[in-house]
Amino acid sequence: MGLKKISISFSIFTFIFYLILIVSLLSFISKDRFFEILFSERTMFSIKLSITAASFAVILSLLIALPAAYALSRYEFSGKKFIDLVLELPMIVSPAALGAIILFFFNTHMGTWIQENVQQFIFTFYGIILAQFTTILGITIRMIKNGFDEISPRYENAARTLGANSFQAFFSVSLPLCSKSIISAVILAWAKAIGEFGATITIAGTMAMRTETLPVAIYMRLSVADIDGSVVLITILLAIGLLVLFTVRQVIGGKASA
Amino acid sequence: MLRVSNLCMSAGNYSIDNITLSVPDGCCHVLLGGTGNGKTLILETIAGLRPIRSGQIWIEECDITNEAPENRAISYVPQDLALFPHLTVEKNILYSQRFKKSEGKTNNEILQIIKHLNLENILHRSIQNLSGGERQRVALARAFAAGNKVLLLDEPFSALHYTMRRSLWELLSAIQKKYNLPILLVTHDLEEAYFLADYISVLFKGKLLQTGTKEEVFSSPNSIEVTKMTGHYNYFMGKVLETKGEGCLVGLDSFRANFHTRNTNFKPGDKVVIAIKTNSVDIIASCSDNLPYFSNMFPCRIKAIHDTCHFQQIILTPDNQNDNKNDEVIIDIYNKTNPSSFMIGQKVTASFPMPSTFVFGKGKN
Repeated sequence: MGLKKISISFSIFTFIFYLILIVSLLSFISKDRFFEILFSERTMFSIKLSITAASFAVILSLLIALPAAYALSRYEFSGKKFIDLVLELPMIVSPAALGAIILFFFNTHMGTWIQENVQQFIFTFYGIILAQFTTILGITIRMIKNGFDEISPRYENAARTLGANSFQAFFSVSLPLCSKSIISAVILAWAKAIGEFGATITIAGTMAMRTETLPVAIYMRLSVADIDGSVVLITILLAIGLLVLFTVRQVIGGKASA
Repeated sequence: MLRVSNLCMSAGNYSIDNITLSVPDGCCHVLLGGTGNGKTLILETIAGLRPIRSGQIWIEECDITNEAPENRAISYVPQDLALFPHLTVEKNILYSQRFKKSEGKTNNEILQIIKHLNLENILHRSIQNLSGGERQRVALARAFAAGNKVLLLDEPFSALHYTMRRSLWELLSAIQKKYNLPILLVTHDLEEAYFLADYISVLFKGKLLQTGTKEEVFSSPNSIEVTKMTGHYNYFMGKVLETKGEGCLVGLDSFRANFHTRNTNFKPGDKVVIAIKTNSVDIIASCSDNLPYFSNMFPCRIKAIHDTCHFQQIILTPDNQNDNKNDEVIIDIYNKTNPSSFMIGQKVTASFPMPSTFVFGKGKN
């Protein structure tokens, strides 16, 4: 058997492995029961909560990631290497540990002051947003920075000599040229936020119909042996994940052919 | 008019010192130099894209040294042209109109530029779908349409084939005269430099070696480095034997010669390098072993003959070479309509006309 056949066999094995796992999910539940749970008030709450929190977390992270990624891509400044290193933090520290770090922070003087005078985060909707924001910020910056790195600064230089100031050059040249990388980053960050579990449960807890995002809801239903409910929620997460991957592939595919 | 005075700048470990040059309105000043000599760095600094250490930049009577790039009224076309790939040809050309200042070009004037550069039929095309020549013309149109007072061009035609380059030189020359714009152009292409330049500055390792009209620089190079940048030369090592008025007798390491020199600062015993253009050496079919030593004529033997599309190159070895020396004389014959009938191994006489000969101190090399 040649290398070609061996390597193709392994890729087919990978596909079948995941397919069996996904299909086995559906054997646990009937069609009627599936839709009954899907459209129940509790499931719909989890879906809405997850989508809303993830959307806010992505918007917040994008507002910070865009200028930060541009600075890291274009300028040299003191501390740049350390900032670049910190971006990887959410990837090397487990989400539960990240949540615990936030929890500890709110037990410091500054954290307590923020909780009392600015906004209550622990066990609230805002805690979910903070947990997801903390998890995706570094990754969003890294992905957008990679997008800016691919764009030659010569375009901005040319724009400057044609009369654009640095902001105008950024908005009229750099941003449109980086748009596909930004869209990909936003979609993947949103998907990661939707599926975020460790940090969210640490900060926001497991309160039904309050802080019950989709992954937290799966955990809660599994813990009371609600198999049907778990299957429906897992299927929803899977569907969102596959939809996101498909969308990103379309965006990146367009970028490659541009 | 663009004036640059004692400009010094650095990029990493590379530095450029005391660049002084000027470009009058309607003139093209060419910065000639090899790769890595700092040509692009100078253009980017004048455009305001790099900080300077010291020096001043003036446009007419206005000091723009500390102005931001968008306020300098200088258009810069980099080597890769930097056409915006997300915009059509038309939007690229009209890009500067978004930030139009009072002295910018009117729509009518931009239309004239588009017509002049023959771009009417590709205005709605994407940048990715343009040929090399079309991209160059769009870059020029975008730069002219900005209505700036100076144009900087960084080897804009280097990626094109010869015919396309020639036609774009003519186009650039014509449009420059029409708009009376000062152009500072960077190139390492001798023919491009000679075609477009009114003035030439030769740049070597971050320093300007010679500045002058193109005739001055090409006909009177002031150093070995300048000869290497401005033409094809034969080089011979030697020692000054005797000085007489404006000339001196130089004993070559390979064979004896009496060369004229414009530089009278040499003293007997000085080590020198003699440079003579490959197309200035004459070749005479007859050969005599008793040539007068002051005539600059030497018996040689043809070692090789090479044909190129523009000229014939003949390589000679002097007959009276000293031991362990292996100098060659390269002769380029451009009159291809009358091909020479020389043969390899043939004995001939090489004649070095004195006015075409330059002598430089060896220490400068």
